[in-house]
Amino acid sequence: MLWIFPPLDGDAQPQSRDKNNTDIVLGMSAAFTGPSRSLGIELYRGASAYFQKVNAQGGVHGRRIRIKAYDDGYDPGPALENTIRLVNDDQVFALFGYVGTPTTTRILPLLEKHRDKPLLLFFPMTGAQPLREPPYRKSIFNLRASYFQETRRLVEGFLSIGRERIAVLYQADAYGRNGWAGVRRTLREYNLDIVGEATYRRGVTAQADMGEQVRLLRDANPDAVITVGAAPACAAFIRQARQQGWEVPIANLSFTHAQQMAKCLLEVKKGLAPEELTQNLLNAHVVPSLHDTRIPAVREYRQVMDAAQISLPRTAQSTLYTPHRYDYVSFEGFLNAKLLVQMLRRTTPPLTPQRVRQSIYTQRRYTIDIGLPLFFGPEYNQGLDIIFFSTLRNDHIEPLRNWDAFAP
Amino acid sequence: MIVSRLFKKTLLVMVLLFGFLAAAISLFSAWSLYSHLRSEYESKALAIAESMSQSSAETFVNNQATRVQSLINKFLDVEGVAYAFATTEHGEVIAHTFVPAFPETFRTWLPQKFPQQQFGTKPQTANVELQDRGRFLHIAAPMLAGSAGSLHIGMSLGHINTLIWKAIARIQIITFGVFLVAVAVAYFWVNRIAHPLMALSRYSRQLADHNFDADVDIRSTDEIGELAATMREMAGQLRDHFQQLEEQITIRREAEEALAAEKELLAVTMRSIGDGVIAADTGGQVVLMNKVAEHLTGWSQEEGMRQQVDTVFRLVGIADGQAVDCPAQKALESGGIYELDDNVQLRQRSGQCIDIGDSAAPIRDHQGVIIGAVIVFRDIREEKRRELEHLRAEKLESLGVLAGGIAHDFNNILTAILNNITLARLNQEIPLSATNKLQDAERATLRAKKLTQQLLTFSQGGLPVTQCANVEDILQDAVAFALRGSNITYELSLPQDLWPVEVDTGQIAQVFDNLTINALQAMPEGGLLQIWAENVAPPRGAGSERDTTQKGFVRLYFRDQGCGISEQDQAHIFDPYFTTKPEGSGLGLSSVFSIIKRHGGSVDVHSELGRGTTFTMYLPAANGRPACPSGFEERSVSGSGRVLVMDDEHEVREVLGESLEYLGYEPHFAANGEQVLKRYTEHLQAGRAFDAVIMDLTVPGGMGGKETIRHLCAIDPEVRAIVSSGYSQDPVMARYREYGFCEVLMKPYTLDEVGEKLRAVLHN
Repeated sequence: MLWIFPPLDGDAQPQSRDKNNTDIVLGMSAAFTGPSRSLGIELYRGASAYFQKVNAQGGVHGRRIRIKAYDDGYDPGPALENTIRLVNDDQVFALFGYVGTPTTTRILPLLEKHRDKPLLLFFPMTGAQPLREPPYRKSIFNLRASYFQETRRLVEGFLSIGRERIAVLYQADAYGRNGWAGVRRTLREYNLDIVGEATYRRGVTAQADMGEQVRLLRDANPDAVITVGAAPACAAFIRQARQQGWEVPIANLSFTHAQQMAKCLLEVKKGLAPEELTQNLLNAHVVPSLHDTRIPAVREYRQVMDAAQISLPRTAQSTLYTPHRYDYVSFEGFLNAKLLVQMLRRTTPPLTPQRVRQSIYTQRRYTIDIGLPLFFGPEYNQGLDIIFFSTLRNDHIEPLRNWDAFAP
Repeated sequence: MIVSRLFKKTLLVMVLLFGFLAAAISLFSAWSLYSHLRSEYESKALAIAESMSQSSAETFVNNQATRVQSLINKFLDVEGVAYAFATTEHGEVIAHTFVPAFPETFRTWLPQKFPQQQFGTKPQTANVELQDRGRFLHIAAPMLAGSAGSLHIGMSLGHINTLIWKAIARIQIITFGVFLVAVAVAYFWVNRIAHPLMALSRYSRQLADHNFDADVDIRSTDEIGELAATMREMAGQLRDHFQQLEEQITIRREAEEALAAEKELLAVTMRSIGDGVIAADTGGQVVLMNKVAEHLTGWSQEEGMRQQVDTVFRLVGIADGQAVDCPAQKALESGGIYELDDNVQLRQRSGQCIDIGDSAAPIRDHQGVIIGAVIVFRDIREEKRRELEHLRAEKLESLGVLAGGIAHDFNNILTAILNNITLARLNQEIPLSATNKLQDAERATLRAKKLTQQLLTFSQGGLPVTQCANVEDILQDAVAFALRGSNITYELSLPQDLWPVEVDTGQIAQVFDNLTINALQAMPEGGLLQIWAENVAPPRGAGSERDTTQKGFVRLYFRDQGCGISEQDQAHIFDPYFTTKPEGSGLGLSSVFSIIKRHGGSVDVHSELGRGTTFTMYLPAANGRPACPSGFEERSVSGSGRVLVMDDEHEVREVLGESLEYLGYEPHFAANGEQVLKRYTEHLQAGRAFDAVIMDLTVPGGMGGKETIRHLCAIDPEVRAIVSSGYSQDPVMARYREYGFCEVLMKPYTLDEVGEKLRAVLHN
């Protein structure tokens, strides 16, 4: 189903008269257009759905939570401009739900500039290492595991089944470099090195020609390929690799957005059959499986998504996108919102960024009903360290139970 | 659009100038842009590298690949930066911006170019060429003097080239625009100058083509305007000059044409004149000769011109061959017309002298002054020849008249004498001695008869009574008879197909007789007479035009080996009574001439003294074949029948009567035509018609045979009449059949002749 979202802006809501006093406004800059738009849209949907539920129940300390979102198209420049606008013009309470490494790393100096205020960034959708290291550690709270962790687990997984020759396809920017560095780093611990590497330019579509990259990596004769990219680029790479008959296992990071990648991979209805295209594909996730309804958070997520009435920000309105009913990214957004609401509720009013941070450092422990406690402190600003894996069967994502399936 | 040549030249110069300018500007701009951009790029890259090494050293120290990548990705936004990458202090690449992969070139190039141990603190630059990517200005900046690795930035030189080309293109567009504007300005400016010049140039060409009606519309006051005014004035003067010239030329041409026409007329007239004309100036030099004059003098006009007139027209006396004064000189001297004497001849250039008649007259101009002399002369050789011939014919005619006058009576007398002698001899009672005397008398009478006949030859009445005959028969009889008993032999060679001739056999026999006797007398010591003949076809042109019955001629030659005839005598040998021989009568050759001429033929002589003489004759060829072979098979002359004899002479009637009785006929007599008619009618009515009538042609004071035969034919269409006459002046003798006669008897006739004729008449 194709949706064109009706215009709905937070500013237009009736409560906006005394928003400065009543609403907690969160500033968001993400990709709502372009090849990576699925990430921004799904993340926004998951968070908004939960905030709708909270707001319907009376909000936090009687205040409604609202997201002020701008589109940056997964481009660092607009991301920086959006952030300045959010801080200066919109005077948001905090930044929330940023998407992507190059965009987020670009605004880090801004956080440093407003460190006395402070300007906090909650749960950006990136596993980039600088966000987890000084000097930005105090201004940022991460929920998801880092790319280093994702790549470490992937490399170790391949090593566990004897695939030691690992090649990397990565986006020619900070995100790609981070993933590349993670793979390299893990391999070096085992006295190995990346056997082949290729890059691509950020922003390519699923129809892009990745023939040269496939050739470069295939020449290195790797046992497995790890991609550090966005969904359309990875889909393009995988399709061409498979069309050339290269059956090597290919693993994607969480940022690749498995569901969107599957859609991109399968939308071209010619050439190979869906089973052949999706064979030997592996995806890393930083949230539990959507299908695991034993987890309370998953059940709540499903209820919230089914109940929510979500309008996209004005900047994303012209985009053609069919949202998934349940999606790993919107689930991440949901969890982000759930954790933030926890953090805000457990802060004694009046709510200021300073007091929220102080509260977090004091409380230290949070739960979001996924069966795992989350710890935060001045030295540690990342909630989850767990990585989940899935495989693809046609367009269906299935949790990976045993790495032996990828054994040579 | 009319573009002046001036503008074309200006345009060419401008194009060259602007082309040179554009090239120079482009070259200079390219060079300065390149060096400028390169240095700018270099300084830009150096600035980036410097600032990075200053500000972000700690990022490098920690090998934070993600942040380094984030930093260097930002450089790509800087114009001209093509790539950037960072290496660790060990040379490992920890971040780069290459897609799809880090170039292999750098793996070997970098350690060579920037060895780690020699890396100072200052950034370094080098040029590098990457496969498929182009040429780059490479800047390597050490971080913390290389201890934290290095930063590398590539500035695209291809980008510089693109910028340079863009700049050059813009310069060219501007230059071209300026050029177009300059061309437009130059066009209008040059045209303002060139238009009057073109108009003037066109005007001058028109003047050169004599088109003086043309005008040039330039009225300005500047130099060009002055030039135009001057040219207009000049054109006016030229037009007047040309008009005058053309009028003069027309007048002169008309005069020349008239003169030429006159000259042509004169030349044609002169050429057409049948007489020779030579004109000389007062100095005696020939200035004009016509064609006849050229022919007669033997000088062509070209050769004769400017010669002295007495050189070209040389006269000599006939008698002494001495030069005679030129008549032109005489006419010039005397100023009057001068006629030439008869006794001078013109000596031709070849030396031959010819008879001419001429006159010379002075030429006077319209004021009467003598400006030359003209000689008019003509060839009078033919004239003189005709005159001679005429003279000869006159001689013969007068002789003929004389002969004719006496011949009639003389022949009557001879007839009586001859027949009486014949009858007397026939008397057998006469003693032998008397018989011999009678024989001599008879011979003398025959000689008299011959003489009479020769005389009669010259009379008008001697028309030949022609018949078709063989030349050979006549020749054999005549020549053999004449040469009897002489020491001359003859040789007769005639072709088999020799045509017969239409001749009076008696007369031609006489001709042959005379020519043979002439040869005999020319060769008193003996010799050979050669006679031959040949057919001569009639002249083609004449034959087709005239009657086709003309058969041509038989040409006969008589050649002897005698003493020959001198040139002087040759002119007279055909004159009557001219003879070189003591015993000659002077009538032989002149009668030959007369007879041949009357036959329509001709005779000529060619002789050289001491070498012999050749006579050439032309006799008319006959149409048919010879009617009768010569000779009689039966020489019987006797017969029977009644014969009426009419003659005014008593003696003739008597002797003819006796002869007829002797021959066996029964003679009856009449003295004139009236008696003949009376007797003939009586006998016819009585049933005893006459078998033949013999009538004298003329009867003095009575009706002669000529009239009588008409009446006789009326009475009896089958009348057989023989005409007889003493001389053949009357045409009846030649054409007796046309008048109604059956035969003719020439007086004096012999007994045999009478018998033959009667027999022929009665038996046909």
